Amino acid sequence: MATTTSRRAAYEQARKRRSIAVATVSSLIVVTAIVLLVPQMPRWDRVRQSFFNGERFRGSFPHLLRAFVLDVKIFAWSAPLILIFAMLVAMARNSRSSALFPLRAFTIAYTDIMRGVPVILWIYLIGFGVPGLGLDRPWNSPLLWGSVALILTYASYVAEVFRAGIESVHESQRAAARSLGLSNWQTMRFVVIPQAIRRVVPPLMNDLVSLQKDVALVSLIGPIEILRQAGIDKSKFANFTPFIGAAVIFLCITIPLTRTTDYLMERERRRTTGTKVR
Amino acid sequence: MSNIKLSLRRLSKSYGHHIVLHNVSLDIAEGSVVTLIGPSGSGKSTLLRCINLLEPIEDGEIFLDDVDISVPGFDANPVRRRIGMVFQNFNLFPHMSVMENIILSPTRTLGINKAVARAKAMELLERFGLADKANSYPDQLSGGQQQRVAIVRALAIEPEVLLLDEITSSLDPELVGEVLDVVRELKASGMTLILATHEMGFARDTSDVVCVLDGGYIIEQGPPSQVFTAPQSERAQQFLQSIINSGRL
Repeated sequence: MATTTSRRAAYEQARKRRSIAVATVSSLIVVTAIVLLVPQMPRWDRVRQSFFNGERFRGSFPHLLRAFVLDVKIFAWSAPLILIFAMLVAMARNSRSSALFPLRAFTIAYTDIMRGVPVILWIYLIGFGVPGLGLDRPWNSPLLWGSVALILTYASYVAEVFRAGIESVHESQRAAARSLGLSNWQTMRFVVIPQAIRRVVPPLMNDLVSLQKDVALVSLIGPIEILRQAGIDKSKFANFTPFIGAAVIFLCITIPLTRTTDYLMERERRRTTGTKVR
Repeated sequence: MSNIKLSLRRLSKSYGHHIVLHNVSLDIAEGSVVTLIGPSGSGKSTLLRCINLLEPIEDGEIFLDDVDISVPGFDANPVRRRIGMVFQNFNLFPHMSVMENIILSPTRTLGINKAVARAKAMELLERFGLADKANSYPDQLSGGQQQRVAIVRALAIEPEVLLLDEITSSLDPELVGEVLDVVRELKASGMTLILATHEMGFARDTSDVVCVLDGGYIIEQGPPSQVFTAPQSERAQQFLQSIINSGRL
């Protein structure tokens, strides 16, 4: 044989070169268009001054970072509670005993009501309403009730994600588990829920990334977290650059978070399944 | 006359208005192999699921060692540990390795120490030529290997009766043999087996009793020599004729 590469390898190489060429050219066109055209806009200079001011960026960044610690804290105590509460709601809704009908009815009403009203409205209602009952410190803290509002609303979304996961596990898996003498609870605990969670990791991460951003809504009832800090810095210098700083800080958390999940999912997939279809 | 291990008395089962089992009565002697044959939808799988208490029955009784296990409200979990079941589609747990699949029930329901359970599982895997697959995941195995693992998983709880529900029906033809060999070995070891199958040659050669089901009735019941050569009922004659004509016997 004269050739050293197989027919398939040669074909794939040619295909790959062509795809790379198309991708490079099209990306270049789009980027160049943005770089050239946006500065042509009539008020570009003023936008650049008020949104991309390097001095203001450096000036407010440390404040923002300090304020962001509160966002991380709210996220850190809300997320685990959301996952636990959502799993309990999903399991209650999936219960099969007829004695548990009131519980099922309650969880259906709960998810319908919580999901049917915007998160921001719940933060106002619970964050202002409950402390308004005249509770003493520390039980009147807007931070506490703002977090509770986030937990209750997000748990209703996440509960639906878990429910979809639980229902996606085939009935034959339960039959196999029960035939081995496992109880209903053991079947859920060792067979159904582990599979359900693996299947819903992508939508679950989606909700957690959303939560990471919606934590900023708690600022509307008082606590000074990053969004409010950015607003304060904005007002001080009549310059919007702190908002860009806040956006950058959010991205620094959310992007690695999603990439890590993708990596973990892929590793799990490789470990448990066969060859990937091309 | 050997001991009656399992006895079905006038067992009836329906889904809504659709009756799937009519007054099924059957005695299964300890250590015997009972084969259920019959066309698809005749009630073979449902009968096995009823014996495993996966499906509640409307009427009749199921006696295991003279104890009625079909009493409504009877605790099914201990019963299922005495009656193992293997399914057509293996139903292995895909998120667990072969070893984890096998030791799940022994460690969780029988309270056996993990190291002991692993050692016993390894013995079973070696006996069925699967020792090198202990750490594989179900999706990495062939159908025949998966089904043999499923059998090992059922054996790990040391059941007294094993129900095999068309365990070769979703296997490639060349993989059927390895699974049937396992069943023959189980018979040789004295295990009480009830199997639903379409493998007529196997049913004829291995069973002690063959039951022909049709439309939820046992229409023929007896030793294979009688059922396969001189069936009494007309419907059973038709069924066997169709099998012979299709070259499966």
